[in-house]
Amino acid sequence: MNAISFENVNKSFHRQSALIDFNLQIPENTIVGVAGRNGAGKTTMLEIISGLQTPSSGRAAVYGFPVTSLEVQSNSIFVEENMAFPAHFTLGEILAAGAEQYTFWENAVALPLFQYFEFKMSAKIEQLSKGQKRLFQALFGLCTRAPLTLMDEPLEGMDETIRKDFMEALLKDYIQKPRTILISSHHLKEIENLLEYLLIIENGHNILFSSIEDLRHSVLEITGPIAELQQLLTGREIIFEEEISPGILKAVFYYSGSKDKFSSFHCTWSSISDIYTYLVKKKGGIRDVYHSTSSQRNYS
Amino acid sequence: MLHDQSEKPIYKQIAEWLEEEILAERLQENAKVYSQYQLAEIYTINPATASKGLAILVEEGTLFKKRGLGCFVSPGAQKNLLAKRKATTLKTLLSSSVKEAGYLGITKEEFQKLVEQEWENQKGDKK
Repeated sequence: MNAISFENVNKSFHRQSALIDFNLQIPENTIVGVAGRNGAGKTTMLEIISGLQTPSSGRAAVYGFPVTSLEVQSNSIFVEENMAFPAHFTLGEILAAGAEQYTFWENAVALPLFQYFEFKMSAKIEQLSKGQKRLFQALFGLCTRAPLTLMDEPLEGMDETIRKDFMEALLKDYIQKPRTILISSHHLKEIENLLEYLLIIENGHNILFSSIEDLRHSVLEITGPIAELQQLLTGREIIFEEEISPGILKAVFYYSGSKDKFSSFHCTWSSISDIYTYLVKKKGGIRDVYHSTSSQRNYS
Repeated sequence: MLHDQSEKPIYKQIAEWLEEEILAERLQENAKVYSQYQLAEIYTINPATASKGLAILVEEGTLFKKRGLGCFVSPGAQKNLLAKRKATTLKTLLSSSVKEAGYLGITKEEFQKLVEQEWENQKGDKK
C-alpha cells in the first residue's frame, strides 16, 4: 500500500504557484529524502501531507485517507522549525505528554535517547539554544514513532557530530519500528545512505522520484571532443552540458546499461548529490557570470 | 570498509565485503550470514540497500536462503569465488594492457611477442 499519494495536486498562495500538477506515490515503511532548492515547494508538500495546508486542486491522501482526516492527524508527526511545545512545561513534562499521546512511544528508548544527548529533564524549552531546540524537536518526532513521520530540515542548526548521532539513531529506530519517514535536507551527501528513495522538487514540480540504488547507475558524465560526443548523444535525455574548454564538451545524461560503450572517453557514473546538483542547476551557472565580466576587462 | 567516494554502489561494496569474509574463511560453509538489519546497523545504511547486497550473492549462488531463518554460505562458495575472482581480475588486467598497447600504437603481433617474452621471463625466473 502507498503511504502517500498525490494526484495532480496544485497549490498556490496569492496567485503564486507553490506546487504544480504534482504527482507522487510513496510506498509505506520507507525512508524518503526530499531535496530541492529553497522555495522549490518542499515545505508546502510536507504541510499538505500533514494537513496544515489543503490543495488548491487535485487529491492528496495518506494511507488512502484524505490528509485532513482525524486518522491521519493522530498517526503522523511533523517536525519543523516552528513546532511548538507548551512554554511552561519542563522537558520531562513534554516527554510525559508525548508518551501519553502517541501510541507507539516507548519510554525505554526515548528517555535514554534524550539522556544521551544531555537534555536536562528539569529544563524548559525556552532555555535551550537554537541548535538544542531543533535537536529536541527532531528527537521528539523520532520518539513518537508515528507511522508517518515528516521532518523538514531537521539537521539545520545541529553540529556535525550531532547530525551523525541523530541519523544513526533515526536508522536504528526505523529498524526497530519500521514506518514511513520523509526527511528534507540540504545535506544530501550526509543522508543518502539512510534513504531508500529520493524525491527532488524544482519550481513546484516533482522532477525525480527514484530508488536510491537505481539512481546510482542511471546518470553518466562524459567528457570529450564535441563532434564525436554529439553523435553519441543524439536521442539521449541530456540533463546538463557545457563546453568546458574550446571544442571539449562535458555532458550529463540518463543512461542505463554498461558504460563500456563509452570507454574511449572520460566517463563516470554521477554521484547522488551530483545528480541533484545537475538537475537543479541554473542555465549557464556561475561560470558564465565571471566569464562575461572578465571579457569586459581591458588588460592593455 | 565502505567508501562514500567510491563509484561502486553501496550494495556491491556490501556483497564484496561478504565475499572477502568468505574467502578469508571468517564465514565458513553453511554458516549464517548477517541479516539485512544487522548489515544496515553495522554500516548505517538503509536496510533495503543491505538486502540488495545479500540478494546479489543469493542470485550468484554464493549464499542460500532458508525461509524465515536468513542467509547461509553455500557449500563450495569459497572455491567458486576464487575461480570467479581469478577470471575477472585477469580479464580486467588484460583489458587495460591491451588498451594501453593501443594508445602506444603497438600491433597485435608485437603485443603477443611481449606476452610471450614476459611469460618466458617469469617461467625462467622460477627455474
